[in-house]
Amino acid sequence: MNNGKKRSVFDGIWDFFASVKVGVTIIVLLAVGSVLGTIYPQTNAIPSPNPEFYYYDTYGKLGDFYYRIGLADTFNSWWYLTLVLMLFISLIIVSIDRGIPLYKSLKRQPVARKVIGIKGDRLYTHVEGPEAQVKLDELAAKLKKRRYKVRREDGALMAEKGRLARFGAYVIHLGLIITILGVFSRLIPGWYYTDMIWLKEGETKAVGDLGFSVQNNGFTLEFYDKEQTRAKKFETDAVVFEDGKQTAAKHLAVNDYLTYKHTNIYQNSYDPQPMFRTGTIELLDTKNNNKPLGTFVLDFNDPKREYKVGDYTLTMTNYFPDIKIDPEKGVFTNSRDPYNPGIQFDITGPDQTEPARQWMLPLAGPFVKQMLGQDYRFDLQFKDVDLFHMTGLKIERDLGWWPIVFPGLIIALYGLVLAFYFQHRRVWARLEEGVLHIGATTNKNWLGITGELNKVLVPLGIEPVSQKRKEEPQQS
Amino acid sequence: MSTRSNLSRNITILVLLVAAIGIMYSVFAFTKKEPTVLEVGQAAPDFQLETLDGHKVQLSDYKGKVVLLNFWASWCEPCRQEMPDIEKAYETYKDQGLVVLGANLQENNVSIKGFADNMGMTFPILMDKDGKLAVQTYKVKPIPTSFFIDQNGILQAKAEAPMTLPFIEDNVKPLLAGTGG
Repeated sequence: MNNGKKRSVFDGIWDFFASVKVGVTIIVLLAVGSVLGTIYPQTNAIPSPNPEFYYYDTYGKLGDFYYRIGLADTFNSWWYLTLVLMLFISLIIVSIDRGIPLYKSLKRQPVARKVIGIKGDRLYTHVEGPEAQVKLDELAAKLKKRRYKVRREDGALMAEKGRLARFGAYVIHLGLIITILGVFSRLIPGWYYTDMIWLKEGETKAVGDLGFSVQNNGFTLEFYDKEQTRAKKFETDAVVFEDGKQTAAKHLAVNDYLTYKHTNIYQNSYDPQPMFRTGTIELLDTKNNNKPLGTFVLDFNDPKREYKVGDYTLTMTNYFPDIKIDPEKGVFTNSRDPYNPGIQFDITGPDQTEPARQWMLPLAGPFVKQMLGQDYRFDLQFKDVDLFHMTGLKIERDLGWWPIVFPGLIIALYGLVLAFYFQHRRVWARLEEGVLHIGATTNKNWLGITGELNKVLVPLGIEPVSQKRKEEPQQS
Repeated sequence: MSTRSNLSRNITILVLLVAAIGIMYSVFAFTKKEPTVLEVGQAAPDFQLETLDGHKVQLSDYKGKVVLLNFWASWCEPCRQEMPDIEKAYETYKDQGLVVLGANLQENNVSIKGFADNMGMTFPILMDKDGKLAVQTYKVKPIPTSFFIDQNGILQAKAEAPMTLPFIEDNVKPLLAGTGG
């Protein structure tokens, strides 16, 4: 590319990106980076919101290094993105640097080639005699039948088939360029969003800043077995609200999702640990052979301070939705969700001077009985309890996928097929001094073109072509 | 190589490099969304909320007083640690014009009442039922987070960790000594 002039910085940059070596190196580095990214889990798959500590705590110094150089989030690390962008530039520059000259040279192909050139073709035959002009016409007709594009000049012929195959590599490039553009379309605000949301029944949560919210209107969970180890199905009645109005609803099941405003809402998972929703609790008089005194209904997400059971009043003095009892730290709640409720009641009634204070721990009944149960005046028993599971929905919006990334991949695949399975075949014929010279060339599959040509030549009484001088470099 | 094609090649290179750098920049602008925070020195956003015992409270009602706004939850261990010191500070300085507002994040009344009784908390507890006050208005990230607001409603200090009594005093005393505008 350098014709004795001083090379500028631009020449250097251009030649760097136009080099196949550089392109292959970039692709190899991308592959190596992707492989290295699988050593430890990526940040989106770790059970901790603080990756900066997690990798050091879990994998030691090496893990910390792994996180620091961005391998923990490979696809978003500065070096990976740099490589992708370099690949992008390289693809464009290579296509300009070689694709355009190729296009031009194929467009400028002469019909009447010099005989010396035809004789130099790897496939060559000739025929002499008065028939030569007729044979040339017949050759043209037969090649046309074989779907060659035939061009004629006086005493000359050029037939060509599958020129597009020569551009297979550039079609692949184009597909990859479009794909990369599609991936980066995620940067356009509002084009890409992905998140997991956890919803209790009846709960509504806003979806990021997409302007709508999703409500869990009921979650069903079924198991195959009694032990409840293998889930058979888990489904959510999802409702979408926008501006306070219900705008969409669907019964979500795994692989049966709702699409709203180009956003897919998938049933993804559920919280295996159930929560308490409501319970019907019976008050029993232990001093009176456990005589039932009546029942009340407790809503674990919205408990009331007082409950009346017959003549008795139960005042909830303490409610720990997710109770933990620690010898050091005392009694506290571990979260605001009723996974493991602990309730302390003060029970007053007609036959009591002092309120009876007692605990109720549904998941630790025996504990209450053993530790504190001896002198309890009352007993509190579930007559009926309603548990529920939180549903996990995956929200995904990727506006670039269908219109950009997907076509890009299809184009790249088409380019692969073109480059690997199609051949560019060319046949030249020239009548000179009563001799018809026929030469042919292809970019691959010499056997194929030889067979095809001989099917044409033999009926015409022309000597079949055979390959010669394989070691000779083929010309474009 | 004609100068013309050289020029178009150079333009191509420039365009590609600028595009690449632009994409790179926007990637990092996009992934490093700096969470907005409330800066010390700006006015504390006004709000109105219900307290645990059913009163309505508005921040601007406390103009002329020093307000310690504390965001907490009973499931948060550091919150439980600092609560006695906040209560002590409240009892010590409430007569000198200190108001403590404890904004609870999204818990139910019975739990909060039990917690406050056990802790012996006497300052008003705000019921941030939907978490809007914490998340949207005050951009709270970790809890406990506390804001010290002066007599003119200006944020004067912020703590994103459990506080001790000396720490609270260091922040409150100068504000109480300051003239209330």
